[in-house]
Amino acid sequence: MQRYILIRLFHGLIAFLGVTIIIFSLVRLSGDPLDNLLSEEDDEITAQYIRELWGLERPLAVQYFTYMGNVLRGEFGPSFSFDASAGELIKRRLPNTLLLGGISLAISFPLSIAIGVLTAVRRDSAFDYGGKSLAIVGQATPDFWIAIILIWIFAVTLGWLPTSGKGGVEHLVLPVIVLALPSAATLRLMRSAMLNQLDSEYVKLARIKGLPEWKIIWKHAFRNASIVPLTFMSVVIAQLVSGSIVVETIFSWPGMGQLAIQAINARDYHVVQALALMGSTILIIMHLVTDIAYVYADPRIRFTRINR
Amino acid sequence: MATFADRTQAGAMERTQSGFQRAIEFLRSLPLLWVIILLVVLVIPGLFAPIIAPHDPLDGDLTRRLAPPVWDAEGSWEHILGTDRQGRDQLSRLIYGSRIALFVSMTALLISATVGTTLGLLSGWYGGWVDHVVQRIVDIKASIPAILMALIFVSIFGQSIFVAIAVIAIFLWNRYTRLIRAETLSLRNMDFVARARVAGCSTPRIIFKHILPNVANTLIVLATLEVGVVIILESTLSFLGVGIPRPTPAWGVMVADGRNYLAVAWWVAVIPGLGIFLTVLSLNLFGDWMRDRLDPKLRQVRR
Repeated sequence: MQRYILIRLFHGLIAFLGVTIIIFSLVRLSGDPLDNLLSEEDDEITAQYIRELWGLERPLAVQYFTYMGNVLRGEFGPSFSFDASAGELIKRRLPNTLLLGGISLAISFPLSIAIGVLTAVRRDSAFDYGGKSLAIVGQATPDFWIAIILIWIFAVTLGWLPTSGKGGVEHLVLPVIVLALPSAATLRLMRSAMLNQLDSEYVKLARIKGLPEWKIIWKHAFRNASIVPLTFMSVVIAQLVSGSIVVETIFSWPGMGQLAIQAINARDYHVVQALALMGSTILIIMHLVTDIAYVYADPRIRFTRINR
Repeated sequence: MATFADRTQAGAMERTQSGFQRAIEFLRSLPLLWVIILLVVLVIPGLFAPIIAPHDPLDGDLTRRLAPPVWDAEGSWEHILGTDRQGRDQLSRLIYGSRIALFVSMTALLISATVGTTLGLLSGWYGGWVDHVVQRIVDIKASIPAILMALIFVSIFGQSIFVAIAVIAIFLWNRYTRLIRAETLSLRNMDFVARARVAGCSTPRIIFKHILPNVANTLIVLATLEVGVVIILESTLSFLGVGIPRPTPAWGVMVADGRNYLAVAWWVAVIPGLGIFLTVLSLNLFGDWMRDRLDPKLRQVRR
């Protein structure tokens, strides 16, 4: 168990190193950082001064470690298009993104688990088929298009909700819905996990001995099936990270996703780089947490799944 | 025991099909419909765009801006699906958009399938440190969100169709690796591999002539299912302005262009999205059908 956690931590560290090296070298690839800092009038002496100040004449490996040191201290470099440093910008925008993502996760995850269980219990009912068709349709619909259609219907035509921006609760409704939709995949996953459990021998035994159906479903089958959505958590979070870029852009929500698009349009690569690092770190931590949680939830894996 | 029997009986009764269910089962067993939709929406317009398209997709008629589609009272057969804010014919842009979708998905698919399969074969066949290295690369890939990666690439290399293809290919190779690795692992120890070895086959020959044909079905099915993913990803990137650059008529770009005119001209944004939806829906259902025919093992791959 401890060995497994250590190995996973080590793998997470490798992934983190890999990601930061890739992002660092990509940004270095994008050309001499001096091009962005110097104006036409600056002479060679100023250039030399800045080069020394920023340590640009040192070997790339040294520069990488300096850069990582700064990143760990929360310094991602200045922004070229906003009047704040990249770190400062993220600090400002982060709460908005967390608000949106948190609400949609808090609604969609329990809801899709509950519906997943219900569709499994009432398998092949109209309810089940309705869920299935919705999933098939949902999988083929890009989320930006759903957002546009929702705006068209509820904001433009009916005028019930605002089209975009941050404000009261009514501003949250549409973005939260769009952000929550992809995690409906959890529903199908939960359903098949429940079906597996309900088909098993111990459920038959519980039925034979006359246990009430709700007890069989929630106390026995659900407990064993619930490990599946747990492992899916990291996929859901990854979708949230990507989804929030789309949703925040469409609904002009002042979060990190919108910042990412604004930064890219301004070629503000310190900000883009900082956001990419943030997103990647979140994913690495989520992978770690789900893998470890998985092992805790299922003792069998503790011994067999050490090397995946 | 009577109760148990009753219950199973009741269960069987519940499972008799309703009309709605039968309709769905029928549609799913009929790939022809999806193939026809695919041909009509994606393949034919994609291949023959210049012949089919009634107008130039880039050259707008500024006197006919935001013209409504033909079923509207003010619509005309001149512009069947209306025009956008620059007076460009929406139908022609959609048709040329199919060409972009087809080109991007095929090239991205080819690259990601080749890379992913090669890595999967290598790590499944050799195991050991090769496998470890490949798994760490998979980890790193899984740690960078696709859209953010696209943002970095665009910030460095600028926006172009080839950058979009590269980003999509980089984002999608790992599924091939995972599946092909697993298949290779189980094939590696089979008798026919040992016999090929005894017969004097070299390692590359075994991998390409004996293992690869055995994973071909998996590969075809997965690739079919991935086309839809590619199209959604490409249109999302284009919508955000980091995929296909304007004025090229990609479907995602068209939706983005229509975004601000929802109140006066809903069709500009909604109809291109419908194109994406129909294409991906038919691809997914066609892929499901292929999977059931060719490779039932894969049934758990779909999310």
